[in-house]
Amino acid sequence: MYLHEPKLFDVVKRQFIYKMSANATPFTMLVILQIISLVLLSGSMGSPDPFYDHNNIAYTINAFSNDGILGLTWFWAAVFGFLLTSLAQRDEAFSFVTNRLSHHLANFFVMLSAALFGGLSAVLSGSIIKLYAFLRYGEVIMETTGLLTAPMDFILRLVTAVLYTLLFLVIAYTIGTFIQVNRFFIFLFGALWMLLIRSISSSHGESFTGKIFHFFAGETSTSLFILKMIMTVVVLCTISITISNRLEVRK
Amino acid sequence: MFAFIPFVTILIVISFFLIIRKRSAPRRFIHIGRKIHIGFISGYIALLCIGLVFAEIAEVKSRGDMPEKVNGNLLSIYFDQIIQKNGPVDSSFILDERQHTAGESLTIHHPHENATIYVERTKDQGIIKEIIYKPLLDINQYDFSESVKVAKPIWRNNELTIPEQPKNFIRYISYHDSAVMNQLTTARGAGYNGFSSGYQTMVVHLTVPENVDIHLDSTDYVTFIDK
Repeated sequence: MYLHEPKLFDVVKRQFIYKMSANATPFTMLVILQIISLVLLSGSMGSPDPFYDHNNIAYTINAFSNDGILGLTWFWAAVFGFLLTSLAQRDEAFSFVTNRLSHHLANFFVMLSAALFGGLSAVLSGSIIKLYAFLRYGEVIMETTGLLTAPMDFILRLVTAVLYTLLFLVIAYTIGTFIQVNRFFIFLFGALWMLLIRSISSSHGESFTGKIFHFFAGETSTSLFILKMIMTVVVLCTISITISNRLEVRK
Repeated sequence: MFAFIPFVTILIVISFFLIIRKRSAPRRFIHIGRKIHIGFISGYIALLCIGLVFAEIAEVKSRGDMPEKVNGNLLSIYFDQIIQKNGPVDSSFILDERQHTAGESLTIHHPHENATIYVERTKDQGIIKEIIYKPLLDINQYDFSESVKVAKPIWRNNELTIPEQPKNFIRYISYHDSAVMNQLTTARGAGYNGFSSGYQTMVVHLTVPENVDIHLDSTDYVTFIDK
């Protein structure tokens, strides 16, 4: 019997606020990485020197995109997801009256916030690259539409970036949880990674990795894509909660 | 771009290492306060939003100056209308229409072979009609024809000379959002089609009276149309 019985929601909320505060550094790190990427890479690919294709016509090509920033954001997401299962993070969780479920739920909300921030910043960073190209060259051909030209496309781009970032976070988090249960999984995931790489290089038809990639990246229906992403995230989170549920405190 | 990838990778690894170290021994490192983190992150988001506004303004303002996207193959449309004469000719293909007084003969000099000349005979006397169709440049299905500088044929004493065409320097600058982000949008796969270009030299269509003798330097790139 307690004077004040804590509710799961209150515990999760308190833990989430604490975790967000404690994990401010990785968010700042993402900002720094994106700024470096914007300055150094500027998303440009093309021919630095002109080449002659016809008698009297020379071309130079510069294609700008935010591919690099998006890739970097996903890499950051994977590192951050893994970091959330580190020993330091687990120790911090027990500063509160808590259980495994509230710990995972709070982590999930942290990952959701990270995905929102990572996805939003990756999409918006495209505008900085676009602006840079306009300021430097004056005339830029827009192969994809902007916010004012096609607002729905912009929103869909945002949704896609956020969901992919969340997927990377949750995959890394699940792997981290497995390793937390048993260190043996490090070798298992290493072997699995090698197998996936081999399946790309050795397969004559569509490889297993290709099928996984196509399952997500080949989806063109918005509702089906969101459903696939949510289902995958829910399944991975459920696995994380289930396998770590019987762990001892502070293991 | 690729030259910086090792540098960025090293930076990521160092950053990651610093995060881990900071957690295990926080007192050894400079502590950045929560307010600084929040300020930095908020400032960055604000900067991105400002960038978005300016980029959208720049995009809307420059829309009129951009080369037009062509539906279908521009060169085949051009070939159909001007060379095969299937249907009316789009007036935007015409660079100039001129008339010249016909003499007893016409000599065509075409030393650089940088134009296609069509000669059509007519029973009408006294006038040579000339239609110049502009050269056509299609880059990744964008019409860059307006950017191509042209030197028109020179007429002097019953002689037509096609001069050397000026050098053109075309800069193809494009922006596309990442393909993965575009998988649900209408611009799916945009920006990943490589680079393709098509060029059609200037076409000069001459309607010459039957009684005018035509002398040619070379028969290359000159075609007589039989009606």
